[in-house]
Amino acid sequence: MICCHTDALTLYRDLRGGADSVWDYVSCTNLNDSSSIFGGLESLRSVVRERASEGDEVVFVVSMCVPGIIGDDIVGCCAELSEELKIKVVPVPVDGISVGGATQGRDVCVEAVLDLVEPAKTKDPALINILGEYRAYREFNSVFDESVERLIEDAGFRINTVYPGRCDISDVRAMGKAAFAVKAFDNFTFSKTADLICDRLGIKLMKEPLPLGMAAAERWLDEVASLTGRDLDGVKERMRSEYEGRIGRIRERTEGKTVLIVERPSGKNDWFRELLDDLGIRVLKHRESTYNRWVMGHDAAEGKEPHLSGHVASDVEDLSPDLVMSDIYTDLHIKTRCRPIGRPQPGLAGILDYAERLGRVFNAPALEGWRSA
Amino acid sequence: MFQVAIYGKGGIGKSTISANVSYSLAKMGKKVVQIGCDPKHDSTRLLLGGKVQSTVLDYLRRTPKERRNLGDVVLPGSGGVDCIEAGGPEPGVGCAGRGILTMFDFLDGEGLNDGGYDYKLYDVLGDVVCGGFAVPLRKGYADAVYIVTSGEFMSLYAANNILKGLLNYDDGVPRVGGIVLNRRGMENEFEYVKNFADGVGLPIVACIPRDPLFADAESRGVTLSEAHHGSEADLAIKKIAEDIVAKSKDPSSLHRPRPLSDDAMDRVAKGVPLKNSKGWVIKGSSTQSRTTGR
Repeated sequence: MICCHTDALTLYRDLRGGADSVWDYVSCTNLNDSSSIFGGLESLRSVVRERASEGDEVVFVVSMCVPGIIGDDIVGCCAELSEELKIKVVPVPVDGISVGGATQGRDVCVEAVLDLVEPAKTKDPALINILGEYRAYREFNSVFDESVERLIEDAGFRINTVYPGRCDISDVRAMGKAAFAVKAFDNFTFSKTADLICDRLGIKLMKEPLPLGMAAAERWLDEVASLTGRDLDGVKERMRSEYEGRIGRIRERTEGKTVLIVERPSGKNDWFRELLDDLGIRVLKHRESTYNRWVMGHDAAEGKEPHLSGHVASDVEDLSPDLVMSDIYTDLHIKTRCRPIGRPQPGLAGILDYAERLGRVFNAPALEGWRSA
Repeated sequence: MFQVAIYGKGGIGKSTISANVSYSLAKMGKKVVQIGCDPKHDSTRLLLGGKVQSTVLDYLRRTPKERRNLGDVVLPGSGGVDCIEAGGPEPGVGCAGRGILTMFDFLDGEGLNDGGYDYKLYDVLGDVVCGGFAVPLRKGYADAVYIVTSGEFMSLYAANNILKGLLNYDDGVPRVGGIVLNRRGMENEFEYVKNFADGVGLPIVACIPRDPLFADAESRGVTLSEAHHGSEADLAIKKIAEDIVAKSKDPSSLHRPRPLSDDAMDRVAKGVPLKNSKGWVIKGSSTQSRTTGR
């Protein structure tokens, strides 16, 4: 079971710009048996005073099960500390015994964060909030930030707040100014959170998330055009032209290559199939797997079902693909070159960068000299 | 060692009775320790000349583990009765039930049971509000449970709840000593309590009169026997002590918990007899005993 404070803490980590470790800035009251008998508020007061003395201006107090069970008055204590220390001490009462699981904890957490947002008299139609973390690989931040920023700019927006992920308290306070919001990715749990944020702040949430791939980008721009009344046909034409030009050059290396795809049924990889098609790469077979322990391990161990890698190995032998690509993060134990499908960053630059890398991968056997091109 | 737990509704006089019974047992030549299991920590006051002793939980809070010693929390009281108070948080703060669990862990770990006591008395908070306060009911702690009540319905209701709590820990071994009637002076008080006692199949071990001598002894910070030896109230207390000694010698004379159903409690409230003309308790009065399979 995941306790609801888990998501709350994760969200606060993101709020600080994705610090490497949540413990970099989390102070713990270290409740012990004595605290559970006599109450933990003294420890809490002491920790918050310490943070205030170090210059923190906003402190979130994420309560867990023990304070919930013994009835510590977290909300009252936070109000008292805010008054005493002249800083914002925000209670996030996510004791799992009363709140529920991780998703419910996230909701309570978001509500607490939203209490900091300053009311905006008017919404600025040129501003958009990005909800959710869109960076897949932190080491490529600069490349991919450029991709998203360019997409937003092309659509006639300026980024207001990226929450969570790279905002600080001043960004959160300004969140209400934007007229629009877009989800960074299509995820059920975070969609619920995005709905909550937009309902509370009166922001129009776009139906389409930040687009992965060219077709999605065009759909996204269409939605922007219908929401804002902007004429984005020129932008779409320019993007399509750049896309086709770059893809055409990569296609010279990938045309006629073959791939075997091993994919989870839940994988949302339309952009991937579109790209393979555009690059002239032929999909020999889609092998779907319900990625779970029963299929992957237990049934295989009992001899009821060949292990997934057994199926894939047999496919490789029959079809002889140039590459196996998979979104299953496990070792398939096959001799053929195998690559994770992964995920590009949203926007044109993101998909083109992905296509470049894919082209290099397909070309690797020839470059490395172990197989003819 | 024979362990006795005194339960009953809050304010019914458990602490006064416990301290007096402990003193009486001590005067009978028994080695006795009394453990107050109430955050108010006033159980042993009468045994300590009116002083309030420091509590186990305060001690554990301020003393590092390696420096803890059982002797620091045991005070010798009147008649040689050893006194221990659990203590606990201020009202409305923390979890007193957790505190009781911690105290029992400490006392067990420090070897209180190796102290050569003949009798250990637990004076427990009014109602069994959570698992912490039910510790003395568990197997391995109280060998006998006495329930103090008056004739007031809410007091009898609390007594019935305590029997329900006991039923949760029923392992087939009889552990209820009986009922102690601490009179409040209401009309037909004995009859009300007798009706309840008949229903639950328990004897009334003693009837303690409503007597200003108790208040006098309390104001002097001593037990009734010390202040008014031989008084009617003192003799009633001695009856409880004698009953404890008798039951410790013959545990088979103890009883199993048979709490009343809600309907039967309603009859008690209305003063309708639970026994019929043949002396049989009316069918359906008792709630079912737990089948333990042990």
